[in-house]
Amino acid sequence: MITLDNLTFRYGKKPLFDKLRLNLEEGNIYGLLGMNGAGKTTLLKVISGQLYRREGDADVLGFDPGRRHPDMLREIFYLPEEFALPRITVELYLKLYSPFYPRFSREEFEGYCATFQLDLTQKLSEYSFGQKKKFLLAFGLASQTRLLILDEPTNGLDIPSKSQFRKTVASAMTPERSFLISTHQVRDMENLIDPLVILHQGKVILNSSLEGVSRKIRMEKTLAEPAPGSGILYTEKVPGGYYAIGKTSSPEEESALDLEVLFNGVVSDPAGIGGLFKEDRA
Amino acid sequence: MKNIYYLLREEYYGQRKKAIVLGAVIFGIFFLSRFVQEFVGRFGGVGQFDYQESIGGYLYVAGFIFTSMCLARSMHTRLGQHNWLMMPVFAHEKLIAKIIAYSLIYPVGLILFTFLSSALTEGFMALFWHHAVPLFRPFDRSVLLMGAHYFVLSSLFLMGAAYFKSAHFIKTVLSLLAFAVSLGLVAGLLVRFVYRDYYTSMVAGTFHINGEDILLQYCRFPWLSRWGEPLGKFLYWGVLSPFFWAVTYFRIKEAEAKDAV
Amino acid sequence: MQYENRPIYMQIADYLYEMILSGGWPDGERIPSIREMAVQMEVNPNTMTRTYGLLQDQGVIYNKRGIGYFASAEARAMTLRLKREEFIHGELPEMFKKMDALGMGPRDIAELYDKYKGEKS
Repeated sequence: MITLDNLTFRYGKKPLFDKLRLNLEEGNIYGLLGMNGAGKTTLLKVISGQLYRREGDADVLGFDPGRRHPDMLREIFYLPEEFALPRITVELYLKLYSPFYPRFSREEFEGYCATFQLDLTQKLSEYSFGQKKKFLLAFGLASQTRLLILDEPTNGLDIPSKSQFRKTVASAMTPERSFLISTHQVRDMENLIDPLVILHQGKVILNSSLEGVSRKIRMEKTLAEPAPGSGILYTEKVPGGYYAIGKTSSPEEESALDLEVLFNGVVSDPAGIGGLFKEDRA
Repeated sequence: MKNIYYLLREEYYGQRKKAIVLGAVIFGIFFLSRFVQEFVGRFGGVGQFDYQESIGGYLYVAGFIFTSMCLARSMHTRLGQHNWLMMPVFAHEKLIAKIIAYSLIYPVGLILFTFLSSALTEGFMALFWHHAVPLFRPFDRSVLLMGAHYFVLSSLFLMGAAYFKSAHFIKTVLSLLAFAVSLGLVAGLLVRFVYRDYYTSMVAGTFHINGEDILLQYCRFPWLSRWGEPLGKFLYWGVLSPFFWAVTYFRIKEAEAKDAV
Repeated sequence: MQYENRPIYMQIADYLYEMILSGGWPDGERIPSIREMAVQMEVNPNTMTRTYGLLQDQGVIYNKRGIGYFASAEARAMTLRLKREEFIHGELPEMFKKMDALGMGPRDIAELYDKYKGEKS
């Protein structure tokens, strides 16, 4: 669905992506993780055609994103972290913007809004930030685009809304549709995002399903600090003990994954831990 | 085609408040000035109000300001830009929609509105004061020519709207001034060159300026006197606006998101 | 294998077993679709697919093409057997280890167990 090959991007002279490679398949909820300034939003903007890559190849839904072909843009809904909504009613918004998305479904839109408890008779400017976000998400889902790009979608959502968000995304994923969700709030989306994509120092250092991850590394919580050596790749102190990442002895030996610890581990040792997933990166 | 219609509809809902304010201002000025004029007229003659002369200011000044602002949000604000870039339409559709809205619908609408306002105002004056002045003639040659000039010149302000990140109108006007000054210098040098036989010293020689004779008498390039004007007209009416639209098109096409990381 | 440290798809499986054991999903009855369960538990539908696959392989549930998933005729009995196996091979050895460490024998446990049953009834 999305293939980036040897993609290079820089702001001025400072290179942000250096020969970045990424392959995303349909029917998944990708979680894009990376530290501040790793370039998550930039990557999303390159994929959606808002920024032009400097070198390398890119294929998004069969199009070169830099051309911004309407047939490609019709299949992408991008919910940015910050956004602007016109000061008009919901009704007028639908009238003006839904015709751009040929498969837009009014019925679905109302369904999502009901889930999000949005009052459709209000003006958009009367909504709170979280309500605006939910409104846009409902609009995007009802547009039935093949790709949904969500940048920090749970930022600004209250606790019940986060749960509604997870339910909605789970219900909206189909084999033809994919989500690409960038987030720092891993806890908000644990058990929802899978596969995981980790962006670090200009490269994708991990792109693997969680099953793939847990077949290669095991995570264990222990009371005492694990002795160095003993096959331990990474240790982190957590409340009540230690979290350790080690190699699995066999692919059948799967363990539960803590995404935050996994992220810290992979970023602390991109070559070592990240290197275990090299062949999965395509 | 459908996309252009959707874009125009969006433009309409975004701009209608401004249009209503402008319409109210125009009608208000017509009505008030006519009312006062008729009132003062009771006590002695005053100049006749001429609707034909009233339209230029609104058409050019307000129109150029509106045109200058028409890409401010969508191209030059961080948040507005996102929606504009993600809109599933071609760059040329975005451009055409703006040209239709600001170079075509605006002048035509304004001319028709001026006619309607004059009709309403004079209808009232006829009833109230039993006296009226001629209505605005929308299809008068001068009005049509004004509209045509507006159509051509607004392309410049559209380009300014796309290129300048802020103070679009002022910057466009200033650039035009700067351009006009440099063009004047070049033109002066050209005249000095073309009519070099006329200028016998740094100061002009014989001051016998009698219309076209001078062109024929002193011009080193006789074809210029014959083709200069048609060429100028062709450049103005046929080349100027397509050129600026093309430049604007590339600016729109190349626009990239400004935020990120 | 540590009980709490099992991958998410197996933790979900435990929840589904619980539904069967508690009678929430009676033998032979239709059960919610993968999507419905994914939404209810707020997990990735692909993970839920894997869990359903596991239960299907074990014969606890089955898929009627075009209709949906059903608990098999002996879902409860099978689940009970599975969970017993798991208990015997998973938690029981851990418990024995702890009993050893604390110097307790089967008799101490039997006494406690009887007391527990007595309190309960």
